[in-house]
Amino acid sequence: MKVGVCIKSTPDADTRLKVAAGATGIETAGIKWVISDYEKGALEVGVSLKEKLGGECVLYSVGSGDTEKNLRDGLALGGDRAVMVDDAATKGTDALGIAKALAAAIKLDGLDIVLCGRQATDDENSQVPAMVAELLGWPHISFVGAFAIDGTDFVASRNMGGATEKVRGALPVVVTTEDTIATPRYVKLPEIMKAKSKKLEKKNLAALGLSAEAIAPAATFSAYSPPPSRPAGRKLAGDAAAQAKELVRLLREEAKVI
Amino acid sequence: MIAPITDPSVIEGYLTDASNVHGHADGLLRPRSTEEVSAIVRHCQANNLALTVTAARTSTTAGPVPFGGLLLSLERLNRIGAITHDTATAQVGVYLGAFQTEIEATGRFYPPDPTSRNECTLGGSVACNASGARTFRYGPTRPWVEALEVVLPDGEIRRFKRGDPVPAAWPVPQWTEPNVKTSAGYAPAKDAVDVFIGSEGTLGILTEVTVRLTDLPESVLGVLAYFPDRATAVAFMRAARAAAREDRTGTLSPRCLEYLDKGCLAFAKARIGAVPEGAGAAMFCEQEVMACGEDAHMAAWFDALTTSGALIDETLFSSDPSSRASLLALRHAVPAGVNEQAVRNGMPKVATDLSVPDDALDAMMDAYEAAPMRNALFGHLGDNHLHLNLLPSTADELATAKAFYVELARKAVALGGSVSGEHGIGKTKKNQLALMVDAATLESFRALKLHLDPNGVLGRGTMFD
Ligand SMILES: Cc1cc2nc3c(=O)[nH]c(=O)nc-3n(C[C@H](O)[C@H](O)[C@H](O)COP(=O)(O)OP(=O)(O)OC[C@H]3O[C@@H](n4cnc5c(N)ncnc54)[C@H](O)[C@@H]3O)c2cc1C
Repeated sequence: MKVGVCIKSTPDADTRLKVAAGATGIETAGIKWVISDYEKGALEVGVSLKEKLGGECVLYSVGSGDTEKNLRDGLALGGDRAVMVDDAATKGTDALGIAKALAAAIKLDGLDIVLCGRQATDDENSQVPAMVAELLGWPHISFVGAFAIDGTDFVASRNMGGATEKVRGALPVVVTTEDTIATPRYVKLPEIMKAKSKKLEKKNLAALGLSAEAIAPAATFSAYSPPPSRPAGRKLAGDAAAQAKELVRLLREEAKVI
Repeated sequence: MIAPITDPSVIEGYLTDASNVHGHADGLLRPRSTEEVSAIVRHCQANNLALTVTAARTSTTAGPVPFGGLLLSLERLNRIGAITHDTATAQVGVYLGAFQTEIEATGRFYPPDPTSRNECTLGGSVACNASGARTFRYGPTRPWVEALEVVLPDGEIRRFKRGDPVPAAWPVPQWTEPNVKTSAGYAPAKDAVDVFIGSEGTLGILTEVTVRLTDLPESVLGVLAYFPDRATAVAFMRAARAAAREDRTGTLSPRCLEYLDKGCLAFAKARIGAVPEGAGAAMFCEQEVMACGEDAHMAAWFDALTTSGALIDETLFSSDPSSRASLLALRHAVPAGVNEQAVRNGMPKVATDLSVPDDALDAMMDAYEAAPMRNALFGHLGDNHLHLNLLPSTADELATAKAFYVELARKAVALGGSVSGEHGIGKTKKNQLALMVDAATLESFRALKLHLDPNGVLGRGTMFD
């Protein structure tokens, strides 16, 4: 079984994000970039499948800088090798551009399954995996909470908010996973040492048969703004009984929580 | 003076701390300014009324528990002031963890990290000279305090900066503290600020603190290593400690070296399952990434762990804050498990706070391991400062546990150690303080106390009978 896992580097969940001067993006200085949370689950599924069925688990990412470190972390978590699309032209691209780069790299490897997180923890865009599936001409199963292989078929359970939908189909397939699909394993020190010597290939667009024009963005972000700051708290007056009464009224009539 | 609250249902919430000792008070005061604190103190002196300072009541020694008189809560002195490159200032009622978060948002760092940092106040941590895991690298709270605003027991408001000498008339005790991590008794202070740090609310009321800041480490590595037994874990600690002492910025220069014994692993296993077969001890360590870079650190840690006999294939590693937090979850499962067991037993746990010199560590650990009941031993191995948590399940066992603790304290003192590494003396460990200091030293503590507070109004029952 040849499994691919697409990994995005996103700011660590502890980061306090700030909008950069000029409102063109976020302030990146001092951010620790890590594997996006949803993709940690996808990676665990990919590695477990490979451990169970044999074959190979290959990691893919588009980026530079910390992307390489995160791919190495993924290799320490059980990936066999990694492909990093490293080309300056990918910097200003959009979801479709990223999907084109990933699909081209995946096509070269002839995979059976591609796993992605259901969304990135930073921009929560949820677009790339479906686009990858379309570009590969494969089915795409989204919001998957459980996934298994049954002979030459895959069986997936989709979370539908209260109900579960079971899907069965033939490989190959692109799957986007819920973060609850698997508990990521802890990284072990000897695995980190081993990961250093695992293969990590860097490919530019030309090596994938693509050009900068081919991934030129159809849309660009025009401005970023922080969420509105929280309104100041409200102080209730009067004696304890009056305050309690007013509190209940506010919870019922304004907040509508009781 | 502001009027005291006398409603017993309000006061009730302030009458105990983490020691489980339950007290009583005639009134509760929650001043909003240093001037209000001063007026309260003057009133108490004029009327010879006991005044107990209470902050967040995470003390494990009943320091903030009152036995009569008035209770002064500092919860409303909770403003964070200026944070500059070198220092940060806040009122004492600010939660330590919140203060640190604000500081870190500016890229600076205030290192003291008692485990309770999100539940205790800045003022409480200074009043107890609190420590934490990172004390191994950064020392306790004391060296980080730059300036204090204090209301003296006569009501006078004073500001002291580090370097300001102790006023000549104050009879500061001249004694030699044990050469270990210690928070027991009054410090032989030269700077006036040091008189108040660790004085547990008996010499003055701190109202504002300025701390010194350092560089926020850009990146911190976390390591959770399992060992077949205590001996291999201690061997690793010694190797890592020697390396850190030789080169503070070297490839093996941990900022903390925390130990978990077999009893702890049983609790961790019951709660989260993930403990490898064959593990008889574990260590949680952190390494700040130095100029040599992450790879050089990893290679050095790998070598040192392998050489000392760690279960290297089971050694967990993290290089980002969120996965370090998940390693910490494993460590925090232990105190949570211990506390749950105590609740199930229907008996309080008895937890030690003894520290000893380097060469006495093995003897002290032998003594801990002779505990006559279920227990868990964990803590700051790099500082030879472990907490033995005894878990009695009957009243008889509780008495045995308390007696055993006194035995251990005697042993620690005989080995050159301290009866309190970080929690202070409070009201529950006065007997142990007497084991550690001779009568003349105890008298010199009392002389300072009586000089500043002749009626013994502040913190009555703490440190002295
Ligand atoms: C789960 C847990 C973990 C802990 N971990 C650690 C640890 O790792 N390291 C450590 O050192 N301690 C630890 N402690 C002990 C305790 O948290 C610390 O001693 C802490 O510094 C107390 O702060 P507090 O704000 O709760 O003070 P309180 O408990 O309210 O008071 C402590 C003492 O200080 C006095 N005091 C408080 N504020 C002032 C003030 N402004 N001026 C004068 N006197 C004052 C009080 O009178 C009292 O004697 C722990 C406690 C718990 C419950």
